[in-house]
Amino acid sequence: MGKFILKRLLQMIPVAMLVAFFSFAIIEIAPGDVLMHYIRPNMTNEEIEELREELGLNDGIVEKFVGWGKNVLQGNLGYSLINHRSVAAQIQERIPATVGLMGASLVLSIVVSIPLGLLSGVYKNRWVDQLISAISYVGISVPSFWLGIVLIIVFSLKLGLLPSMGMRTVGVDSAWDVIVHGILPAIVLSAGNTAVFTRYIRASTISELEEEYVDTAKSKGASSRRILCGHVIKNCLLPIITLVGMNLSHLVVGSFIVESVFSWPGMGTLGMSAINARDYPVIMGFTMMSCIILMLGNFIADILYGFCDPRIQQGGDRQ
Amino acid sequence: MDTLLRVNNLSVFYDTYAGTVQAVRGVSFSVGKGEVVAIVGESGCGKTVTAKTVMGLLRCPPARIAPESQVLFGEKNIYQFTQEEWQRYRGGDCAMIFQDALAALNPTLTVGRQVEEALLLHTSLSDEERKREVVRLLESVGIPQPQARMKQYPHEFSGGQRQRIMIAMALACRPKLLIADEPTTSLDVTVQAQILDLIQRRRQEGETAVLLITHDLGIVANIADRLVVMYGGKVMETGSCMDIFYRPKHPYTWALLRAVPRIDRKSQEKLTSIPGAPPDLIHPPQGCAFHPRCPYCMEVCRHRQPDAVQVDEGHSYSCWLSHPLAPKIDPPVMEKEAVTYGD
Repeated sequence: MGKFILKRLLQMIPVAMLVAFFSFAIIEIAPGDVLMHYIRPNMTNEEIEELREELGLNDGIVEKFVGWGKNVLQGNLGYSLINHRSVAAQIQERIPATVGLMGASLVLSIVVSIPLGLLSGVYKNRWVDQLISAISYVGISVPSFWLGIVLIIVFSLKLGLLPSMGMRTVGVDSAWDVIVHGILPAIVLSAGNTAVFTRYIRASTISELEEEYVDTAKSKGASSRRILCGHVIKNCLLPIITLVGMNLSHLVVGSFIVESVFSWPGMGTLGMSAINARDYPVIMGFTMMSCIILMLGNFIADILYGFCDPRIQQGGDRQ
Repeated sequence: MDTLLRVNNLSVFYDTYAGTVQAVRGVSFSVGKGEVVAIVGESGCGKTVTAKTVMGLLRCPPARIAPESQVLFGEKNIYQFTQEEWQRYRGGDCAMIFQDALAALNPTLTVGRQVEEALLLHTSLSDEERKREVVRLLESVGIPQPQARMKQYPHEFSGGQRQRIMIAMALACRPKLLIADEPTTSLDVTVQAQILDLIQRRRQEGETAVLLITHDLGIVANIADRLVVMYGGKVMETGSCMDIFYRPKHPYTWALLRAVPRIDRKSQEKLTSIPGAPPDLIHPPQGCAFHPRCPYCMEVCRHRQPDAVQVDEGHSYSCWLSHPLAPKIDPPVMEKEAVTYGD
């Protein structure tokens, strides 16, 4: 197991390097640069050229990438070209909001989708299943910005129950306040994943119920409830671990949109403004951060799977 | 001998998109207390469906059991069981061994827990006693170091060991009837012998009757008391081991026996296969199910289903050749030899 963990950790290094390089290249290829934010109407062409040189924008992509990479390896993520603050500090102050939102929505997805998926699978093609399936199709198809706006209209504007934006009420500093602000963003961010997980658990429940070990359990005299709770559940929930690992990217991407809709002060909003400004040190900073979150998520999923499924644990030991 | 299980006129249908498959068509047989009855026949003749029906494991739908069918266990029709009676019957009175033990064991539960579950459901033993009983059961089926191995998972055992674990599990509560659905098909010959020995031994010790489903006549000859020969969802011939092997009456039984290699036969003699293919049970042949492949087929065979005819006590067969007007056909040469062996 130790060897397996080490191998997986080492594999992350080349992945991170490739992600860094391609992100850098994409920023370079995208039209426009950060200079737009510096130009004043009365500037001459020479002055603009001088500024460009000063900001290091005239260097080639390789030169820029190597320079950035060297700094990163020394633990310095660079400084924003717009507000000149350290990228690391900005990410640091934003990351709890994003990770908190992602975590809450992930937990919400799992907690909601497991019972729905099981119910749907056990009562395959009955009305309960059809209702749940219909809802999950809607959940998969609805774009999150639209759902966000609809929820804001209903719960904030019409009913006035929940705040529509931000993370805190001005002047209030309590965990409860943050939770209340987080309800709508977490629901919107979790909707897609909940629907996908529900469909997946439904499918795996149906296929597990057709396995022969179910017949064995039945032939031992186990009741259907006992078969479901004692035999089937564990086997149909195992793939969820992998699924969560794979769907973390949806969370990262989704949090960009959801944070913009709800003005949630996380990495998503930081990222959006950095992209609009072509502020490449910041873009690179949060890209790498997202990449690391994703890789760690998948890594944890793999390890967890090994712990939960006895068949895989064995394989790991033998290697 | 007291009758333990009686199956009367059992018919099972499967509704599929292609049409209704008539998997089992009016099968009747019985199993006495402590008796080993084998159901033999080719793939798709309805053996497994019959076994699953007796265990109440058919999934309905797609399966459908004809309303006139009766499966009597003791005095009671199992299709009138309440939920509780079912749970007591399955695992308590009647247990089952499946063909593929790897698929039949839950991959994510330890072997010990799976064997223990049967005890948990049917006995009032304490945790401590149950653990001890599991160890004893695993030991009795020849699993080495049961104390340690009961904490392992099915994939950590060999194929033969897994099948033995299945047997330990099935026999945990000393059932009156053990249904073994091709218990040795996926195993090699030496392991096969061990498994059969186990079943045989348990039957001699206790009063466990066995309903053995197989297509392997060699196994049957070893352990069965009585045989039910099935074809196309119907019973062709039934009788004691002696009757079927030495005094077979039905052309299908003849053909089946001629397809089995025998050590006392001359090596240059060819095994004969049965020409043709098993019948399509969506459109089963009219008349006798075997008529399209039967070398002795007569006009009447194509139209009318023959009734079962009793030869001796417990030996009967369904064939128009039994009719007084039918031509007298001598059993093929090899069976003639066999007859002299038997007598």
